[in-house]
Amino acid sequence: MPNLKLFGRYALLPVFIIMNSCVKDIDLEQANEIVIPPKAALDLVYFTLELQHFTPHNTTGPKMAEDVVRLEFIDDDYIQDGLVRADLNFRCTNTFTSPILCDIIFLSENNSERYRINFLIPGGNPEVPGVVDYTEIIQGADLEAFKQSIKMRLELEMLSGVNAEGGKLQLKSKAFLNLEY
Amino acid sequence: MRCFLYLFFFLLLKTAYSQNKQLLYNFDELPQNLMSNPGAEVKFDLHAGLPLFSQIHVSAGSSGVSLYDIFKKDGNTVNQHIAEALADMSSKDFFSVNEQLEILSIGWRGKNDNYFSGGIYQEMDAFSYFPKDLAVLAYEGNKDHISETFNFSEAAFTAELLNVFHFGMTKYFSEDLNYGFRVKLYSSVFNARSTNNRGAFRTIPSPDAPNIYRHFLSGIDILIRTSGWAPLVDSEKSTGRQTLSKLAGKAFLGGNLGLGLDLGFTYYRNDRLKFTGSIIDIGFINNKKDVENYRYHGNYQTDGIEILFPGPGEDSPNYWDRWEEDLDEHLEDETLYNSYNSWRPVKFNASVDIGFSENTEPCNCHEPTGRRRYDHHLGFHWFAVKRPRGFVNAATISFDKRFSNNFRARIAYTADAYSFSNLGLMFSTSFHNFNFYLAADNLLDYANLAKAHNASVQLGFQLIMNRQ
Repeated sequence: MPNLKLFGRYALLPVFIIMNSCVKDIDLEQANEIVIPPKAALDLVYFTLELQHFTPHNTTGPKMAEDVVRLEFIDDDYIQDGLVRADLNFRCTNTFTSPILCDIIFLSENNSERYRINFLIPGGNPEVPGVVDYTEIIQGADLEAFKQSIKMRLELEMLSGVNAEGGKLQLKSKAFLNLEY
Repeated sequence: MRCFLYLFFFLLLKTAYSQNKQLLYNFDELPQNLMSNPGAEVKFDLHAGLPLFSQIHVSAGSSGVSLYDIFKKDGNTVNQHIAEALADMSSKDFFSVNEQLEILSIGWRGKNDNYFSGGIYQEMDAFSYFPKDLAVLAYEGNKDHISETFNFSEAAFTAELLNVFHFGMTKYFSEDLNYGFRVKLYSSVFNARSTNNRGAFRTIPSPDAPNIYRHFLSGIDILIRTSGWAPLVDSEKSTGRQTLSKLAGKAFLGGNLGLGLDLGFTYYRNDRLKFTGSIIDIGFINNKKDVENYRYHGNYQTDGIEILFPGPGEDSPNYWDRWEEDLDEHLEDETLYNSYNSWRPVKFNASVDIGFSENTEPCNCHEPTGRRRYDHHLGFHWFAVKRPRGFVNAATISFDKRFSNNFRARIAYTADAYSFSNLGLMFSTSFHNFNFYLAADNLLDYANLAKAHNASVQLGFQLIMNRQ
């Protein structure tokens, strides 16, 4: 005959432990506050411009070079939903004697301007180039405007000058993207 | 009730060094012992499990982080806790979940004391190493890790859902030795595995290159094999009944099939001293139905997009499309449908059992080896299960005591890679021929389950009978 006292004393011990087990000293409500905050570093565009890229040629007046690149990643969900700050860094080295005005315009699909960055690249020469290291921090309302763009138009205006020795304009760029999910 | 729900939640989300049934191993009065060692001594003549209830086993755990580590109330934010946990964990940490449900279990003693047993059980097993590099990349990004290498080889996981049809025999060879085997037919419902991934991602400053950084994806070869997955995804269009019908069909020999073998022995050095050993699940499943394998491979490096400034009247190239085409050309994304074999996680058990306090009372039990019976047993047990990068080990010391012919209990201490404080308790009791057992480990953590790194519970109901 089974010993019911023993059963009561020992068999129910694990049951008792399990029934009295509990989760203490934690707050699962904090799950709502979890944020995944990656910070991405990535290259953007780069180029090297020589005199023939600027038009009109053979004048001493202002000359322009321009091009457009699509940046499809801006339209991706991970940017649209997660981007909270973008630091765009441009490093330029100019050996033309003329200063060059750099306009970077972010455009929507129908070419409406959404965000603009501009800075002046000082003139220089091959020995002592004009250098600029410019960072644009985009956040808040500006960031919302930036996120509506999908193209980047680059306009480089060489201000008046002879530039008889020729020269080069080199641009490198990167982005630090602060994301939160 | 709230705590019970937490326990349920915990067992579902966390894992133990799953499949170690140290509380059941060598417990020779339960038929479930035969599932860990087909060469175990069987001290009854007939058993029949209560269908679906003869063994319910759930184990879950995490070697690196507990619920408490993330959600503790210490004045810091949950995000600080996550960052700390991420820093503390390594790529050797892992998560696993294992669940077994016996659908049918029967056994009987044949001629020459041999014991035959068979049945069906359903099993779900999932195991994943913590891919630290990828987790850091996803959580922190690469900005603060310039020049560091993020390895894709750290990503390794297996997951499977299957039914196992089995039949085994325990052969009493002599007074000293009995051995046994179990043949298994695996019927897979779902299988996924990704174990030999290669490749790395790295961003370096590149002063001599055209841009500020250079990004590398080097030697990438990522392969995720799946079978049975595609119909489950397609089942979104199906009704619940159709989906269940599909799953049941696969579970009962309509899916991918495999073969397996368990081997085991028990050797008596003398009446008191017993050695056992077993190898479980030497087997594989041939996945050839509903196979979809996803492979991503190649090498790529980029400095960003070079702008060319074409002259007046010339169209600008579509820089973005060219960049994407270049990426796709160098990093190929393929879906393959070739069959593959998935090896089951093989397990090893070995034990030494010392009996003392001889029981000379007559009993209604079967002693096939004719050895003396002891009320108390001191046992040492080693368990290992093969996972993608090697064995996961556990060592247990246990003491079990028979309180009466109908009641026996065991207490066990287990040390493993996750915890040196795993205390488990088990009991088995019978009312006439009806047996009930319950086993739970990591009892010290039950006071606050949030701090537990692992836990498991096993219980079952069955009929166990003797002829005498």
